[in-house]
Amino acid sequence: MYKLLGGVREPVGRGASTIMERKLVGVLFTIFGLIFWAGAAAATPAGTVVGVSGSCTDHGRALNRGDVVQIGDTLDVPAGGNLKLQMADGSVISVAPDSSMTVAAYSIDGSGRDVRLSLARGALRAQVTSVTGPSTFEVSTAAGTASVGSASADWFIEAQPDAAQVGVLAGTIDLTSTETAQSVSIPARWGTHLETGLDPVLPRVWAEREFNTVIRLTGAYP
Amino acid sequence: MKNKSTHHRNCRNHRYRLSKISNIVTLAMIGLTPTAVNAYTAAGDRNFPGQLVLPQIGPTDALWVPITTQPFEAVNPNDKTRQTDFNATYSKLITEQFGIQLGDGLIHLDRLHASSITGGQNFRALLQYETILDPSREFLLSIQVEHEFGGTGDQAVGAKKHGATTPGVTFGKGLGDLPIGYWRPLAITGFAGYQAAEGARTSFFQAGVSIQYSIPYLMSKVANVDIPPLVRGMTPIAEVFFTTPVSRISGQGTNTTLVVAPGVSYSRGKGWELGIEAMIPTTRATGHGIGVVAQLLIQLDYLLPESLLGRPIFVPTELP
Repeated sequence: MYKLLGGVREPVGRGASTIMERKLVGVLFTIFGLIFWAGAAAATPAGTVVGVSGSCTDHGRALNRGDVVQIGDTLDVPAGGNLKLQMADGSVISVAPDSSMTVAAYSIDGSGRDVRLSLARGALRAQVTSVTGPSTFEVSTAAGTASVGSASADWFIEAQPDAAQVGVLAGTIDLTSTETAQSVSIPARWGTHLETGLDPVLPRVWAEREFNTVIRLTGAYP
Repeated sequence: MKNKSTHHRNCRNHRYRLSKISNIVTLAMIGLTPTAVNAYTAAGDRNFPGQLVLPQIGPTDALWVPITTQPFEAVNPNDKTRQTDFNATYSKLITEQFGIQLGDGLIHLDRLHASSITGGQNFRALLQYETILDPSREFLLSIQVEHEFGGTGDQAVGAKKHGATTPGVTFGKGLGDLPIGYWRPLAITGFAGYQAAEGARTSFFQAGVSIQYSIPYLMSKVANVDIPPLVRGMTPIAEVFFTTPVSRISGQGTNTTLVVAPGVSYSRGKGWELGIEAMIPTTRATGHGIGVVAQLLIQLDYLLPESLLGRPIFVPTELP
């Protein structure tokens, strides 16, 4: 009986141990796979530096022309500096002096585009190309989030301490308040303003001088 | 002979006055430098809604269609019991600060013991120049000159045989720059003009003001108040328009008119505005009983921003 039981138990015990080992190996493979996948995703290049002036940095590392910018990077442009990026989808982002921008997401493939940038301070110009498939291209600030509502767009966003400002040269941009969730659509040659905690101001036509100011701010390169 | 001589003297005086007025307008247009101006009825974060009774305060690319109906007191057969006006005005920017408006419409008259009649109004053209824009003080001022082309409408419905030229000035001032808390959404606009008539037609002095409280301004510049979505786009507005004859021609309408028009304008920044106001006449010449004016305003510069219909014909510099 014992032998019988032992004969039964022994193979069962070994079998259980083997199954557990196999499961453990499977879990380890899965974990390593996920780590590898996540690492690969984090290392995905979002764009390349094509213009830089001043001591622009990426997590403290000095940026030079030709450097690759990856998802998760935070780019700092000092006062008097400028940074221009050629992104993976062909879009061009020009960052103004005294700005800080984080690339939270930048994926582009056959199924569409998903771009999420975060502008902690300063201003940028985004010349967004059209892509096939569904597209999300948004820039968030503390006051609200601006997203491209047309296939392509050429626009500006400025993050101020308690406000955000958007001007549109081409295309349509939707600006949504973080606090109230109210939004406005801004067409080409129009702009508007959003104060933290409030609705966006009704858009209005921007004068040439207003566009020229932000063009100069985001467009000076050596 | 005496009458003819008087008529010639009146005509000479009239031409002199017109010439004097046009000189003043020309000097004003030349003398005021267009610094820091743009071409929309907005001053900084202040958007002035389209007005239903008073002239628009700034040039823009837009189309507006007001419909007005006003009851009148009829005493004799054929007297009008109600007048309904259908108007359309197309406004086009020539430069960022300078625009032209072309307007026309129909008049429908219901009459006492007679059938209704419908006829055309006189064609009107207006040149408007935005001379001052101060975004930080939410202030803008425009000068304008309007001409009504006499004899282009149907005299049977009251269109005048003779034309008239009306130089005038319009302004808008928001109170958002003042430390007055929840009163900051208030704004006032105003108009003053002199309608110099041609031929046997009475000339008028015209003036008006509006006071408005912008809920969109309240929600975007003052406080996040919990109100229904529909109310967020509303601007309660009250307009007052006054005309009084300056030179009287016998047999012409020479009475003072004063209309008070309280109502509301609605806009959510989508390229259109809807307004509706009661028309409360305060003199017999203005009407008898409460009328209504409703207006749809289409912002062509918002809906067609990259076409010629939605942008000035001449832009100073091409943006990169």
